[in-house]
Amino acid sequence: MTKTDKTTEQNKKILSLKMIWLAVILILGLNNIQAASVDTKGVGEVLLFPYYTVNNDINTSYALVNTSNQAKSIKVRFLEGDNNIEVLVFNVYLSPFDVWVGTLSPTISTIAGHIGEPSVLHSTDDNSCAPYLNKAAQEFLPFAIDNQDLLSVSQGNNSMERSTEGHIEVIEMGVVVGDSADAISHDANGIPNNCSQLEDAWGSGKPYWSIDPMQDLEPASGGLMGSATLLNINQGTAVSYDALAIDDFWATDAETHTEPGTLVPNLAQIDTETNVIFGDQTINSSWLSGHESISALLMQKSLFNQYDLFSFINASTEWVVSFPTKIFHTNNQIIGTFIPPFSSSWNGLEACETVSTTVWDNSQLSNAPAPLDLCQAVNVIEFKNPSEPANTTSAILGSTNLVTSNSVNLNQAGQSGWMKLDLSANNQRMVDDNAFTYNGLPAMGFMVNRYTNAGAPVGVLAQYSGLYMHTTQKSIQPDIIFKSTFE
Amino acid sequence: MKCILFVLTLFSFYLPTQSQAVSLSENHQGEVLIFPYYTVNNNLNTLYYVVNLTANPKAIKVRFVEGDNGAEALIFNVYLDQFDVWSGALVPTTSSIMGHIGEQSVLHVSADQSCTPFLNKSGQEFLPFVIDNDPNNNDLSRTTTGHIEIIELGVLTNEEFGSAAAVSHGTSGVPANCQLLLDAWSNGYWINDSTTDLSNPNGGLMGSASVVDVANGASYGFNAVALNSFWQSAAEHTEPGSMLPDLSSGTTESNVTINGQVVTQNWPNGYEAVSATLMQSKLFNEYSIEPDFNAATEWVISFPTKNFHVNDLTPIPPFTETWNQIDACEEFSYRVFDRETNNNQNTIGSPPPQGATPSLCYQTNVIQFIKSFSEPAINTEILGAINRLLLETEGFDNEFNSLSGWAEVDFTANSMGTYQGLPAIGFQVQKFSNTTVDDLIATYSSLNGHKGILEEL
Repeated sequence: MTKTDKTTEQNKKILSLKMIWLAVILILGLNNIQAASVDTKGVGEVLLFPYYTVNNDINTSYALVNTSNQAKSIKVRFLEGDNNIEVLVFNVYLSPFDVWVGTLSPTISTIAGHIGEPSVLHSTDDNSCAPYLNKAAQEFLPFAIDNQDLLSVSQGNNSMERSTEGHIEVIEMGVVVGDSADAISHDANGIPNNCSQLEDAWGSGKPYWSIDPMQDLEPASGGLMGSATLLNINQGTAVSYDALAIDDFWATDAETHTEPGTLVPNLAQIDTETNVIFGDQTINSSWLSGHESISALLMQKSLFNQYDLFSFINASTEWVVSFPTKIFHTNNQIIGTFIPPFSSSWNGLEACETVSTTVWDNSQLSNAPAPLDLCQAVNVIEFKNPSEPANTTSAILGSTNLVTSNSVNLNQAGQSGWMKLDLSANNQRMVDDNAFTYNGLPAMGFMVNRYTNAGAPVGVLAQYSGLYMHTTQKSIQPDIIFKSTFE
Repeated sequence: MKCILFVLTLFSFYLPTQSQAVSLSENHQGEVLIFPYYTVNNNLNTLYYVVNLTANPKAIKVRFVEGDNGAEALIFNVYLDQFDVWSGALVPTTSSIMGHIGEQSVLHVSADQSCTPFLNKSGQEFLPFVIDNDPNNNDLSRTTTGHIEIIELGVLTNEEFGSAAAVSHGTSGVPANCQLLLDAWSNGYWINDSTTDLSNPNGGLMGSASVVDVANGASYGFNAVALNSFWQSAAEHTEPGSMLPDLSSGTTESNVTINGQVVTQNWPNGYEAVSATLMQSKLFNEYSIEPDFNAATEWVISFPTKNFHVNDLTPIPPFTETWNQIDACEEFSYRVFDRETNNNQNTIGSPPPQGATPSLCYQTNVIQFIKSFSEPAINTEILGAINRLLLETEGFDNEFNSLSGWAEVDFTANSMGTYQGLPAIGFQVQKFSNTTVDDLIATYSSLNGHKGILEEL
């Protein structure tokens, strides 16, 4: 290359760099685009509860609070932990400032075709209107699995045992006004004025919602917060977490209100525009479908958390890693087809994602990175000492969606430390319409630990349990494949 | 030209810019960690952990700050290896310090191997030197609750004296040469120039803590709050006992997410930038005080930057009262709801009785929910807090329903810039007990972070 050519090349680069900086200043200022986003303060239109379980005699209680001064129609959805299939769906109508609570407890299924299988009972003493829900005792239902997950049925994997752990979704469908809002409103004794009116609205008598579900409905306005507690009465432990909240789930002009048993709306009804905070920037993305945009909000490259296996205090640790949107990517019911970032398809038993773990003790001694297969929608990683065999169900959560990770395999290593879970180890990623690559998988979850104090006073059951949300790391990059066309 | 435009679109979001603004990290890791609460009251112990997620060895400042007014009670540096953990515990003790002998105090202990020059790991009492500036209020019992701050001071290098190699654990699990760092601060290279072997901080710290009731089998675990990009570029690497840097030492620019957008603002002081990231207009959480289960609920509300706002002659917004050596009280309003929308403001339109507006008077506050007309002990039931506010769940027609529900704490009477509220962090703790099948008394304890909302004027 001659000197002149080099200079021209350099000048071109300088020129384009200057223009890039100009564009940065301009475009960063144009970021005010309405799109769905995670609410960092825990209040929104949609709530995601990453985990429930009734294994090990655990009862999971959940609460959702309407902090706003508007009445709301809300879809509550329970999804089983293998493949995110619905096992119970109902509507709740909350008046302003109202709370809805419920408890999941273990039961034996009495549903034809599934008699005797381990299952879940939903019960509530809440007064708020929930048309057609058997508040005292509602079993989880097999119909969605049996009718829609045909691969599972063909593999004999349609037992209700699948539903003993899973996750919960709460979706605000809209604000209720007018006559219906009056029916929802609570009297001085805390009883709604007319829950029967709402049942009739969907049924016989005065079925105004069967005719026009948008009557007395206005677009959703948010203001929901939620929490769940995993209570083990026998072990004397309770751990609690806050639901993840999503703002602006609904695109402008989106309207929905469906009858209680309907499986829609689900998370894929989300706006196809997302805003994700990455470092000090807001990344605005457009997606082909709601399947991907809901995943985009949950995308993480890595999860980090601690573990403790200190034998002296009988310490144990489990991580919940939940993929609430996995079904949209892996469950085409055609083996071999999947939508990124997932890289496997549901085969009736599993859809395994190979990720990578690196484990350190408290003095940074570490294992080499090791592959780990997360095969279900909700997974529990149980920590074990290097020589210990894996369990078939996990000690704390009683999970059968179980994988094992070992503490550091060195003689001088301690029994406590932390782990990095790399969700992009197999190059898992998804690309938005603007050529941004989100690395990793759409994951959420937490760590649960438990200790026993053998020296507690007589008559005291001294077990301690804690829950800590995973620390996360995103990775969002421009798609460098396109760089070659610039040359 | 087409090519350039193409490049613009692709790279416009991605150019690695040196971030200038501090923000609240929504992924629980950063350059600064704030643990909203510690306590040793009620015979509680507080355990805390700091993890360096990065491949860079780091210097960090650990600060224990008491709950009345944010006065420093113990400060030291920790020099962490890559991927290293620092852990310690706070336990109750009786002070043996001259002028404060016999006072209730705190002992910090650690079995961790990481380098901590001058720290007595087997047992270091909290110190009275800063609270002695309030001679009317300098009992060390002030320090039995407060909050904890971790501030990254920089990344260690081997450039001149091999400080990074000194903290390396290798395969032994023990740092190679903590003595080198001790010497560096005794008479050596860090006394001469504290920037030696240091490069700019790069974050990647995560933290967790647990308040443990050993006797009753109860524990309350929580993640530390994390701040990103606290430092504009270089940090201040100070000697271990130095009270600086603190939360006022960082950038004066803040990034705050409001209505789904990130807004950057510049403030006169670094502490206001931190306050901006912590602003909450309202806090929401649940409560339960069902007597059948001996249920109790307390809310911790901490204002980690309050002392900077209230310790001058005039208060700096959003705070409106100055510290008078005893307290600095901010009024707030609140609503308590049961689970069926009954609330303590049933009589809409009637002005509340005189003096009924509650206040939060300290840096670290505990709200205890109680049944109306009950007479609780001086210390709160779960956390043993003295700096406490009692909120009665009064005002219901049907008293039975008032034992469980949720509450809203409203700070919108205060504001800073266009943000309504106060810079608050914290969580709710719940405890209940019953007798198990085996006739054992079991205590169930849980913790939920406060939810909230940020509104503008």
